[in-house]
Formats: sequence, C-alpha cells, structure tokens
Amino acid sequence: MTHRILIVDDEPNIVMSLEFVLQQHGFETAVARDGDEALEQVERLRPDLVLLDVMMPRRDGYEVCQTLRASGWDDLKIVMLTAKGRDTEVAKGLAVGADAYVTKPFSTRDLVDQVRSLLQADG
Amino acid sequence: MRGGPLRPEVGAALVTGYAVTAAAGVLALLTGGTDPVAVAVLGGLAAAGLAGGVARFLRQHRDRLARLAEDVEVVVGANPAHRLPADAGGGLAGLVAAVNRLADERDRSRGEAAATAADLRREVESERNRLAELLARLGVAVVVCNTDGRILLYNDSARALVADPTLLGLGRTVFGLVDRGLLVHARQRLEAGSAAYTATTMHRGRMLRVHVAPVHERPREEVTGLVLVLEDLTREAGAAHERQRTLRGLTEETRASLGSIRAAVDAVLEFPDLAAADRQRFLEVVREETERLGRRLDGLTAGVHAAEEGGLDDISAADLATVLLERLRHAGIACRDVSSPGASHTWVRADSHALAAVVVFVMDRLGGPGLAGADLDVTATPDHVRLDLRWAGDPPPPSALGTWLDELLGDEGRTRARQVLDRHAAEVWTGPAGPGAAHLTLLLPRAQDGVARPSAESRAAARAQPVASPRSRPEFYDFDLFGSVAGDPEPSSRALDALTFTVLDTETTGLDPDGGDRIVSLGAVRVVHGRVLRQEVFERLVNPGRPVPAAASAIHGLTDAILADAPPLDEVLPHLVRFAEDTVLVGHDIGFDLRFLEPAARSAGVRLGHPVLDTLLLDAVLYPSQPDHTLEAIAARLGIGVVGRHTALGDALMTADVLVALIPPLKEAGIHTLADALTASKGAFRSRSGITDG
Repeated sequence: MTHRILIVDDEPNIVMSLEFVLQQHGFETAVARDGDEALEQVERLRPDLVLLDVMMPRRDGYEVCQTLRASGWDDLKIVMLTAKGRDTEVAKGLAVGADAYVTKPFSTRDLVDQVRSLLQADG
Repeated sequence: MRGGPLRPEVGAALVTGYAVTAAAGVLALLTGGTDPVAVAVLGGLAAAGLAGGVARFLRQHRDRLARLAEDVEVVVGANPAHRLPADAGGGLAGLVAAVNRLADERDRSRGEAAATAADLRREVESERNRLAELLARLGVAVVVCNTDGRILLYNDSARALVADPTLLGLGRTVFGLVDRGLLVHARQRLEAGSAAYTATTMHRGRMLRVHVAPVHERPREEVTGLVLVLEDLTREAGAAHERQRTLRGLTEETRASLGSIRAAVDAVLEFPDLAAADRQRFLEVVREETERLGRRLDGLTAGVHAAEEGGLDDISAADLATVLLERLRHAGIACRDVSSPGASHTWVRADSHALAAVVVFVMDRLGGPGLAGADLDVTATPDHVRLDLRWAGDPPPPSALGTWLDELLGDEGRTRARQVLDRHAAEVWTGPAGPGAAHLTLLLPRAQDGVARPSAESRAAARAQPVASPRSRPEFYDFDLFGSVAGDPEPSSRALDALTFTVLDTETTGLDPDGGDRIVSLGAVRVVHGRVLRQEVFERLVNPGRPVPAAASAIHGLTDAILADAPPLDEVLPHLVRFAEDTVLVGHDIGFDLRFLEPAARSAGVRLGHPVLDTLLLDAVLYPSQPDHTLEAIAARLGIGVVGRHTALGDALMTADVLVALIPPLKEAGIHTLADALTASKGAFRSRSGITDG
C-alpha cells in the first residue's frame, strides 16, 4: 500500500529535496505552501502523514496542527519539521498534537525511517 | 470705695471699736466726776473714729494685696515682662522685690529653654537640608512616600524621569508613577521581613525598575514610609531585547538554510545514480542557501554590534578628539589637532575613557615621548568617523599591532585593547603616511546625531516649567507629610494650614465671558502645609480662538502672534484639573476665573468639583472696613513683594503668598477649618453684595 505524504513548507528548496527523497523511497507526495493550503489539501487528498513546517506566514504549523486535531483528524500522523529548536518550542509542538518533532537540519535518512515507523505503527 | 463683703475688716473694726468704747466707759466711771453719758458719747465717737481708721487701713492693705495679686497674674499670664511696682507700700516691698526676682528668673530660664530649642531646631533643619541636598544631587531618581503613598521627598533625577512634571509633587500620591498594587505588594513583602523589594513597571511606555526600601521609626518597628529608587531600563531593556531577537532570528534562519542544504546533499549522496539535471538542481539549492546564509550573517553582525552598546555614550567627534589629545599630552606625547571643522559635528557612541586608553597604549608602544609629536586629524564619511594620528617616523610591522592589542591595558590591567575595540565595533591599524611618516588610524561607526529630539509630550511638559524664583531655593521635601492622612474624604473639617491648595489665576481677552471673552493664559501653584511650593507650578498659554484686543495685550503682554501656537482651552483644562487634583482651589476674585473655566470644563468633559476659596472674600472677612481689596492693596498691607504682575503664574504666586499670610489672622479670628472659611466667606460675599436676611 502506498502511503501518501503531504509536505507543508513555504521554502521551495527543502520541499524539492524532500519530495525527491520520499518518492525515491516509494511514497506518494503532495505539497502545500502555507497553512491554509495545507488544511485544504488534507481535506482533499486525505494523506496518511503530514510533514509540517512551523515557520510559515499567516497560519503557522502549530495552528495547522491544532486545527487538524480539533477537526477530528486524530489518526493523521503529523511530523513537525522546523528550524525552531528550543525545547520550549518542541514541547509546544508535541502538546498541540504532533506525533513527532524534528529540528532542521536533519538527516533525510533518519526522517524516512521515522516516517516509516510512524506509518507502520498504524498498520 | 470698694464694696463687697468686708467682714474680717468690719469685724476687726467693730471689735476694736467696742473695746475702746468699753475702755472709755470704764475709764470714765473710774475717774468719776464726769458725765458718763458724755464720756460714753465721746468715747463712742473716738471709738468710731478709731474703728474707721483701722477699717480703712485694713481695706487699703487688702486692696494693695489684691492689686499685687493681679499684677502677679499679669506676669504669669498676659505679660511675662510685667513687674510689680516697687512703691506698693505697706511693708510689702520685700514681697514685691522677691516676686520680681522670681519673674526675672523665670524669664531667664524660659529664654534659655527657647534658645536651646531654637538651636536644636536649626540643627535638625540643617541636617535635613544636607540630606535633601544629597538626595537631590544623586544621579539616581529617588522618591520617598508615606504609607499612604503621599510623596514627601523627591529629587531632580526623579523629575527628569517622569514625563509629566505635575505627576511628582509634595503631598501628591506616587501612584501616577508607580502602580498602587505594586507598592501594596512591596509593603507586604517588606513587613514580612525582606530588606528591600525590586520590581519593574511600565510608565508612559518606559520600563522602570523600582527598588523599594522601608522607612522605620525605629529598626524592626512598623513601616512608616517607603523609599523608592527608580531606574529607567527602557534603553537597556530595548538593547537586550534587540539582542535576543537578533540571536533568535539567526538561529532559526540558519537552521532553515542548513535544513535545505542537508536535504539536498543527502539526496545527492543517497542516490548516486541521479540524473545530471536532478543533481544540478540539488547543487544549486546548496549554493543558493549558502549564499543566503552569508548574507544573513552580514546583516546579523551589523545588528549585533548595534546592540552591543553597553557602557557607551554619545560623544561628538570633536569631544573625543579633545579627550585623546589631553590624554596623549598627559602621557608625554605632544599632539596637535589639525582636523577640519566639518568633522567635529559628527557623533559616535564611545566609552571615551577606554578608547583613549587604547590609543595612548598603542602610541606608547610606538615610541611614546620619543615621538617628535603627532598631528590628529578627524574625518568623517557617511558611515564612519576616522581619527588619524600622524607623526614623523617608521610605521611598525603589521604583526606588532596585533600583539599589542592582545595585551592587558593600563595599570588596572583588566581589559585588552581588542575587547575595547570589539565593544565599539571599531578597528585600528597602522601604516606609512607618506615618506618618513607613519599613521595610526582609529575607525569608529558613526552614530545617529547625539542630540535627542524632545518628544511632543516632553515639550508640552516643558512649557509648564517652573518660573525660577530668584528668592527661594526649590524645596523638594516636606517630612511633616510622614504623618499625614490620605486623601481626606472630609476636607472641610481639616485645618487650613494642613490642607493642600491649588492657587490659580487666569489672563483673559477681556472681562466678559458671556460676551465672547476667553482665557489666554493659566497659571497655578501648589500650597502644601502652609508653604508655597514654587517648583510645583502649572503655566500654560491658551489659544482663545479669537483676536486679542490691544487693551488686553497692553496689560498681560500676550498677543495673537504669541498665542497662535498655543493649544485651546479644551486641551489644557484636563491638565489643570489633574494638577489640582485632591486640593482646594483658591484665587483672588476666583468667581471671575470660574466664569471662564466652568463652561470650558463642561465642554472638555472634566469636572471642577473642588472646594473653592477666594482670597478677596477672606480679606473682606478679616478687614471689612478696608476700602481696597485688590491683590496689590492686600499685598502692600501684608508686606508681600510683587513679582511678575499680570502674568497668570506671577499673580497666582502672589495670591498664594496672600493666602499663606491670611491663615494666621484667620485662625485668630476663630476661622480654623475649611468649613469655617467657607461659611465666613459666604457671609462676606452676602454683605458685599448687599444681600441681607429677611
């Protein structure tokens, strides 16, 4: 079964690399450039996992995560990928409902492993 | 002839009389021969005469004693200088002399006691003055208040800190500056045993650090007051905040760029069989992000240096040059300033002491007093200020400077030159300056013009600056306020000399407020505890919104041109109301001023609900027979000097002096409290207006 991953980030450079790597590892990918688009895409595409950047204009990653959880998307896996590395920020991410919190820069290999393990836990 | 019961004397006289009569009768009988009746009658007359004489003698004596008793009463009561007359007669001379001596003795010891008390009072006064002077000169803002928050001492530094000078005043509450809640909390902590309490508070957009220390009558006893030391943290807080922001920005942006780079590199490394076009894309990502990182760092370092301002002050290039020259000369290196005048008006942010130390240090290494002398040239570019020292000689090798900059500076040896330069974001280098000459250059980033532009608020407040009185030194303390009770709900029962007054006066375009005349100037001054506080004044020009007649200008000197920039009464009145908060309003013929102020208060949305006293009516209460109750006449009568007549503030000050001078005679006339004064004033008003009862 092919898992669908939604990549949410306003930085095209990282999106490009992530899409490439994930596709090479057999995942289907979609992209949203900001928080509003992310919510739309989740409704439309019903992905299995969202890679969510926190620092975005208008609606930031925390808000998107909270909104998703509040709208009943409890089974959706959410991984926050972000440049915000302070432990208070990590704590906040997990508190608003992220399943994992990864600070940039990260190893794409590690990210893929983490994505896989989250999706497998689902079965 | 004295009346009243005379029994002892009459009794004595009668007994004597009867005894004599009896003796005469007996004598007549014994001698026989004479007519007993005749003898009895003669004896009786003689007896009566003798009795009368004795009675009169006794009465006189009693009168003398009564008079002496009264004289003693006078000495004891009404007039201590009175002495008993020496010619009291009747053997009382000794008593008189003794009483007079006693009176003298009493005078003497009283005089001594008074002198001692005066000396002690003077000592206490001068100690208080010394303390007040010390506090006044402190560069730190100090405010002392009693437990109700009433200010009883403040200094110039505190005044400078406060945006609106009328917020700080003796007898005013300190809550305009510091939150009441904060002080309540502070007091609780202090009473619970803390030695001091520190907090930050916002005041008009500035961040203040407040240190609160208690005042005890005696150690470990109840807190009777609070000493507040205030620091303006805005600048520091602002800089620290900037630094934090910058740092955070750096971390996050760098992480983002590194994230993109890493992902791209991972892609390339993990998939070696990448198509050339894909590999190209990823490598471009790496280049783009690294360039971005570089740019961000450039921007960042500029920001960080701007924030690293600790301990630096604005100083003009010219002043910095002067400091350098002086220090160099002191170190034995003769120097000349050859700068062109243009550069001197540029500004830098520098610790002149530290920079001078660096320059002297390096010059000393370069030859010091052995140098024939150097020329200092200050030049400026849009971004930098450059100080060049040039002298005849050889430049040192470049590496030498580097070593020197790492050495410890000066006698105390606690900083290195490089640290000083880093703090200033400055650079230093040496090199040749033409054939046979060398230079040392100090390059500093240029600062904004060092002269702070006053804000609109401080300019407006500056317009209300006190009129410098040539006679009195400003007094910023009143320790009597320690015991004073907070904002009395019942001011009418308070004694006049314990009240706080706001004495005001207005200048107008004319005498007819209903006919279109308006206020052109407002002046007011606070009177606290019977003292006119000459540095707590309010003075504003007011735009009347209509042309000023020449006749009016001739009196108060205010013309349309002068008033053109002034604010309208609507804007000024709320400030006056705040200035006069919690006080009794006083003015000379204040009804006139109120006819202008009350309608304006309604339209400005403020209330002039203060109790009001009129010095004209008070004067009429005391001296109803005087024909002239004008301010000048009263001032002349009471011996008050006239200063600044026909300016609102000048007249307000004069009226304040009159008020203070009238309070003692009012007390003597039985008018002690505000309520008394109001009642008496009403009476005087009615009689002046010819209003009678019935």
